[in-house]
Order: sequence, then C-alpha cells, then structure tokens
Amino acid sequence: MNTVKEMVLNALINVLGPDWVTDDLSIRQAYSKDASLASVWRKHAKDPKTVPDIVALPSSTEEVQAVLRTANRWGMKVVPVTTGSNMIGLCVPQHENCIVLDLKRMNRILDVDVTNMTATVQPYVSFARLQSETMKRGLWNGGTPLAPAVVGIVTNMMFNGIWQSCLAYGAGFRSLVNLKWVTPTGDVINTGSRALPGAGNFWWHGPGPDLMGAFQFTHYGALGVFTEATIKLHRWVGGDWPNEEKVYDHPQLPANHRIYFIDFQDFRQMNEAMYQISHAGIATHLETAMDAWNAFCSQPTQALSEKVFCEGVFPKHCIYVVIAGISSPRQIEYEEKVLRLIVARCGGRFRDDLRDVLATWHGDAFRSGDTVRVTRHGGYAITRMGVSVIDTQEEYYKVQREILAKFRHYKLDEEMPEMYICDRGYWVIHETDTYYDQGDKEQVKDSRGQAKAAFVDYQKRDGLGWYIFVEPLTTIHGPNIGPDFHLRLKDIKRVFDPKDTMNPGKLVNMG
Amino acid sequence: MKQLVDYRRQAWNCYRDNMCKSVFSWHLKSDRFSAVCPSLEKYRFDAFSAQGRLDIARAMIEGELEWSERLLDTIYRCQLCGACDYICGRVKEMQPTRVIQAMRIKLVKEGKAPPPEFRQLNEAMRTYLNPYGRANSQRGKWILNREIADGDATKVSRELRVDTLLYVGCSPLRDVAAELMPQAALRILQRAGIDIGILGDKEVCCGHPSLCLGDEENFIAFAKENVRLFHELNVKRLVCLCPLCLSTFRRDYPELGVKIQFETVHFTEYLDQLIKSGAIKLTKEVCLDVAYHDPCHLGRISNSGVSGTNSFIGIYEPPRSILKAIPGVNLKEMPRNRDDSWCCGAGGWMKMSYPDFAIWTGVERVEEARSTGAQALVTCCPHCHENLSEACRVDPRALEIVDLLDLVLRAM
Repeated sequence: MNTVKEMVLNALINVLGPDWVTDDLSIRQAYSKDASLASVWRKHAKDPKTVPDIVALPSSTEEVQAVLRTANRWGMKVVPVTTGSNMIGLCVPQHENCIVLDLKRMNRILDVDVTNMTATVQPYVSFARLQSETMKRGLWNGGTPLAPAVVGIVTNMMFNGIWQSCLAYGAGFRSLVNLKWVTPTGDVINTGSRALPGAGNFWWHGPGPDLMGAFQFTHYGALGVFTEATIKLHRWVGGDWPNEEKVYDHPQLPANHRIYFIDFQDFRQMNEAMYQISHAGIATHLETAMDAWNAFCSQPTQALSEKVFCEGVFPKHCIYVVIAGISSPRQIEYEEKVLRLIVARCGGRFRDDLRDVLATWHGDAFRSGDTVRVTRHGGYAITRMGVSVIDTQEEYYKVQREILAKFRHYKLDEEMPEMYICDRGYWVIHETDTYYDQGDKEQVKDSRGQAKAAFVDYQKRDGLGWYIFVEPLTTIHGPNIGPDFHLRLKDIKRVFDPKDTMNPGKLVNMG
Repeated sequence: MKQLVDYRRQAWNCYRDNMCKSVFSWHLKSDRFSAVCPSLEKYRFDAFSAQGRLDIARAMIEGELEWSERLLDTIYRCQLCGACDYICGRVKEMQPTRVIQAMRIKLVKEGKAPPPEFRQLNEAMRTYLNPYGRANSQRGKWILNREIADGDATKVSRELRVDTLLYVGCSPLRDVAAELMPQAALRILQRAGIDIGILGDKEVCCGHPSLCLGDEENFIAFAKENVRLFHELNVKRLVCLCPLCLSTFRRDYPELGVKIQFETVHFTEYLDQLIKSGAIKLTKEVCLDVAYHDPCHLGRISNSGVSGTNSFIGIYEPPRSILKAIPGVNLKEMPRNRDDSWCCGAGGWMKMSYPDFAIWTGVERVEEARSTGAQALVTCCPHCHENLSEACRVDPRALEIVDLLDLVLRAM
C-alpha cells in the first residue's frame, strides 16, 4: 500500500475506530460485484479497480462528514453503499484509490410521525423494516419494489423506485419529503422544510431552490451522501399483516384488500385494459404478470417453474389488480364494478382459479419476497428500460421483440416485459430484463449486446428511450435528451464536488 | 462431498439481492428483531454475510484471493445456522453454508486452516474422537447417576439389539450440567415404562465438529463408523437427543453418498407421539409464561433441501405441541420463530472457538425472549441451553432458561 492510502487508512481508523475500517482484501472483495452487466463483465476481465482499497463503516452524520473530508484532502474517491442491490453498478468502484462507504451501521428508524404521516429513517433501513413498524400504527409507505423489500427504502426512492403500487402511490421519488445531505466536501445540507429550524419534516420545497431535485435521481450517489431522510406515509387498512404463513408460499391477503388476475387474448387488449383501469381512478396495484413471470414466482423450485412454464399453465397476457377499501369496505364493491365493466369492454377474463395458484402474489403485492425466484437460472440485468406516456406500450413491446430476434437469449427473456403504470396513468415504465448466467462469459457478452442494441434502437423511435440502463453509465441519458445534457450534469457536479470525489464514473465522467 | 469448485455457479450468481441479511420479507414483524445473520450483525462488513462469503468463494475459485488471517476470520466466524440457506434456498435454490463449508474443506486440505481458535477442537476430534477431549470410556457416565440407576437404565443400556436406539451425543461429556438433559429423557421414558436402547460408552460422535472445521477426512471416518455400527445393530429407528447430531445424520451423511437404512427422529418428535398416544400423561400444573427457542439444527437445517417445501418441514410443531400439553404453560412466540429464528450463538462450535461472539449472539436471543414478556426461555438442545444460560448470566435482568424435558418431568 502506498503512503497516501496508509495515511487515509490511519486517519479513518482514528475517526471510526479500528473495528470499522479495513484494507483487507478478503473483506474488500465483498464490495466488488453486483447485478450489473458492467461489474460482472469487469470481473471476468479481472479488472482490479472493481475492488475498493478501503472499506469504512460510519455510524453518524459526523463520521460521514469526516470520511468525506479525509477523502477530499487526500484525493481518494468514495462510493457510498446502503444495501448495494442494483443493476447498474452504482456501488462498484470504477477508479483506483477508492473508499467504499458502507452505511450499514446507520440503520435506525428515527421517527414515525403518526400525526403528520411521515417516517424519518437512516440510510440502511429497508422497506420491510419500515413497514413492520408503520403497519402497527395504521400506516405504510405504499408498497415495495420487486427488488425485493429488504433493500434500502430511501436509496430505492432516490433512483425513482418502481413499485407494483405506483398506480396509486406514484413511483418512489414521489414519497421523499426531505433529506439531510452530506456534500462531497463534508458540509451538511438540509432540504425542504427541514432547512428551517423547528419547522419539521412536512414539505419538500424549502426556502430557496429545491436542492433535493439535484441530489435525487439525477446523480447516482455522485453528489454526496444522505444520512437521514423523511418519507411520506399513507393509510394502511390491512390490519395485522403479515400473518403466520400457515402453508408454505401462501401468505394471506391483508384485510380490506382484494386481488384479481385477469387474462387477455393479446397484448393489445391487455394494454387497452391497463390504460382504462389507470384512467378510471380505481385500484392501488396494476401490473403485467406474464406467463413466465407467474411460473417462476409461484413455484418453489426451478424444475417446477420450468415445467409449469412449458405446460402453459399461466396465460400469456395477464395482469393483476389490487383493490383496497381505504375509505370504506364498500369502496371495494364500487371499484370492482368499474373493473368488471372495463375488463368486459376490453375482452378480458377474470381468472379466480389463478388466485390460489398465485397466492405468492398476495404477499409480493404488498411486500416483495419471492420475485427473486425469476433469477434462479443465474443473474439478471435490465437491458431495456423506457419511460414514456402510457400509449407507447405497444411500440415498446414491438421494439423489444425486434431486439430479442437479433440475439441468443434465455427463454425467459422474451416473456418478461413488465409495465408499471405510475401516477394514475400519467406515465409508464417499461422494463425488460435479461436472465443470464453471471459465470458464463459468453452469456454476459450476449446480454451486453442486447443492452447496446436497445440503446441504439430506442433512439430511433420518438417517445421511447427517454432513459435506458446500459453501460457504461455515462450513456444512461441518450442523445435524444439533448447533446449537451451530460455537460450540464458535469457543471452541477463540479459545484458540489470540485475534486470529483463522489462515485466518479457514475452518470458523468469528470475525467 | 462437493468441493469448492463445484459451487462456481452459485458463487458467481449471487448478485446482492440482500435477502440473506434480513428475516424473510413476508415474515418480518419487528424492526428491532429484523436481523437474521448473527455474523453480519456483529461484524457488519458484507464479507461476514452469505453474500460476501459467496463473493469470497468466487474470488477463491478464480484465484483472485490468497490466504490471510482475516480470510479465515470471514470464513470461520459463522455459526452455519442456516438462516441464509433458508432464505436463499427459498428464492434461489442456493445454500450458502454449503459453499462456506466447501471453502473450509479446501483451506484445511491446503494446510491453511482451521484457524488457531479452532485448533483445540480439531485436536480433540482427532485425538479423543469427541469435541470435549474426554476419554470415550466416560460416555456412559451420565447413566451411573444413582437416581437413574435405581430404575432399569443400566439394564437397557446393555440391551443394544433393540429397534429403537437413543443416541445421546457428546454433550454429556462436557460437564455435569450437560448430563441433566439425557438423564431427564431417560427418567421420562422410565416413568412411562418404555424400553429403549442406549449405547453408553460404545456411542461414536456423529462427526459434526470435524465437518464444521472443514476436516472432511475425519468426518467421513465418523460417518462410516456410525453407519456401520447402526446397521450392525440392526437399528430401525434412531432417536437423537441432540438436534445437531440429528441434522448431521439427516442432512450431512447423505452428502457422502452413504446409504442409511434406519429412520432418524428427534426426541421431541418421539415424545410428542408418546404424549398423543396417551403413553405419557402430563397432569401436574406448571404455571409459567414461556418463549420457545427453535434450535437451528432442529429447524431449518434439520434436513436436506428447504424447510417448508416438499423436501421437509423443520421440527417446529412437536416441541410446541409438548409445551401446549403441559397444564399451565403459556407459550409466547418470539418475533423470529421457526424458519426465521435467530441462532442461540453456539452453532458452528462458536462457543469453543469464539466465545465472545457466541455470548453476544445469545444475549440478543435472550433480549428477544424478554420482549415477549415470558418468564422463561425453553429449548431442547444441549448447546442452545448452555449458551443461552451463559448469556443470561451476562445480562443481569434474569430470565430462566429451561430444558423442555425438565418441564415435561415437572408435569408428569
């Protein structure tokens, strides 16, 4: 180890204590790979820069400040990590001289404010943990991502956070009220109403410009580290949930909720029904649940999943809808009537017979757990993702099949497009993932090819590809967003991070 | 047994979904008691989680990681409690503790392990053929207790050729306190007039400590010796008192390809049947609010596969059924129960190797039991009983640690 690293290591030990800082290779290895094609490819290429030089575990805002100041002083880079679950290499170092800032010790729910319907948490608090406490008080955050529910709630919201219940509660970023933020130079910024001493955590617009918009979503940990965040909560009418799982994989539906599985003859019918449901103002959850998806989520083993899939047990074009009696149990009756009208109009069919078979969704619709089963074949990566208005779904579906036709792929890939309808149908997130074996270099190469093809092809279609996850991360925002967009992002980053300390190479490369 | 390289696919395909780091999402009921991996909770670096250990395994397989003391730390400071096996097995059909075991075997074969903290255990297993370094001739000493001998225990101990054999395990060799559990078991059976075989000093260790250390060669020797002995005695049913032995017979011996021609059950399963059939009657009232601690080896790692699926279901209901059959006992479930249980701390022979870590883990469990308002924490594993009792001594707010068999005796 060179002198600078030694000095930084000693400085960090002085601040955090010897138990919470290390430069040992065996420990550092555990921070060098995630679900991203980029990090897996770099692992196959034996890129030493994937492994950080130092790992530090701060326990407070002050300690985070101290680490960032030390890194700034000595020119080290810092990659912040909460749970580190992501598909785009956000938490894997790109550069040498890198400190991974593992925020695991900052893991407390600081406050659940029942009166104002908010919760304030530290970075390592997960969806499931927050829900377990808020549901006891008749509140919840509105859902969990398919990520699954054990991932960090705020980091998920920071990067948009798509949920099955985005229809009613909006994508994750809608739920963030405000943040306590440590800038790359070690200063603390409070956003929204938190900036006013004693005002409380109720509003995202503070005095002056709303800085949360700069920190959230756009810079992927490249503008600093949040150490506290306040999240909006909603009314929970599901009662004491989850109950004991009496039968393996058969969680009970929460009280005052009803789930429906509906199949359609083709994609067009399904698409039309999703449009109408979302615009009718009914339901909390609405999402596609295609045949492969259902086969893999609902079966406890890979062998059974493949069997069920091959036998065509589940309908190909299927959605599920959850209706909740939030204002009154009679709300369910009314919304069900509307739902039945829409489904009849669109040629759909209610599949009550699937409700028991897909009992896994009863749990996953509210707190995701079993969706990881779709990756039993190996790993996975998001290779195509678009955000657009809702009537582009058919176009998205067409393009993703054109891309698939060009590449060798695992069977599951072509059957798994997902559509998350957000904000009562104002917009939709389209996602298609690749299910590849991370240990197979050829499959990694093929999946990267799909991602790159998607990036190129989407640019040619108006309304698609507003953003797409591909590697390297510098190309997340494609040319159709404006040729100089990345330069403006660099300008913003330079203001907060003049030495490019934080998570360099993610989104914008300052070098 | 499978070697580390055989787990290449698993090692590469952990992609940090993080499920191994928390109680399974649907089952999580409390923020305070949401952690599931003692090793990660204590040491906090990802390398001490199943995810991190799979990354380390990948690096070892690909030749990216050399031996270091810290490497041994990350691989051996793990109770092998199987919480990650349950969750990762449930969602990805991967069992990380198998990979951890394979890493240990590789390092032992290369002469780089076990770490110094485990050497005493290793020597005891190699020299004395039991984990406590006692002469095997003392294995039957617990039966010689006067009160027991007054019954017909010595007679049954010589009656080896019986269908049902009580396999006590090595724990009575530990100390006098550890003799109480097998003595209670025998008293219960005597009072019910049930005949059962006991091997006494002819019993052979199941070999679990050697497997845990990564000493594959010694483990195979124990397994072969036991299977030969049981088959020679024509045993039809082996009733294990120690959950750890039970899971070794059920879960680990089949990994060796050893064909077992006898049934293995835990004493609580056997006892539950005796109570249900009316052979044992529990009539005396024992007024006590209790929490029940599920031993990992009786639950999620009591067999091969994933608990709850078609492969097997952990032995969760028989102990609860026995508790419910005792008049006056009121069972209060802990937030982490059954497949989601928090390890007592003694798993993986931590008590002999990293005692501080074992106690820290036990204190956490005692705290959870206390949160239910229970007066006592009941268990049926000699290792859990020992460690939880010691954890209680560390924490001044007393909670009684009670052996399930002792409660049964009180009620008979």
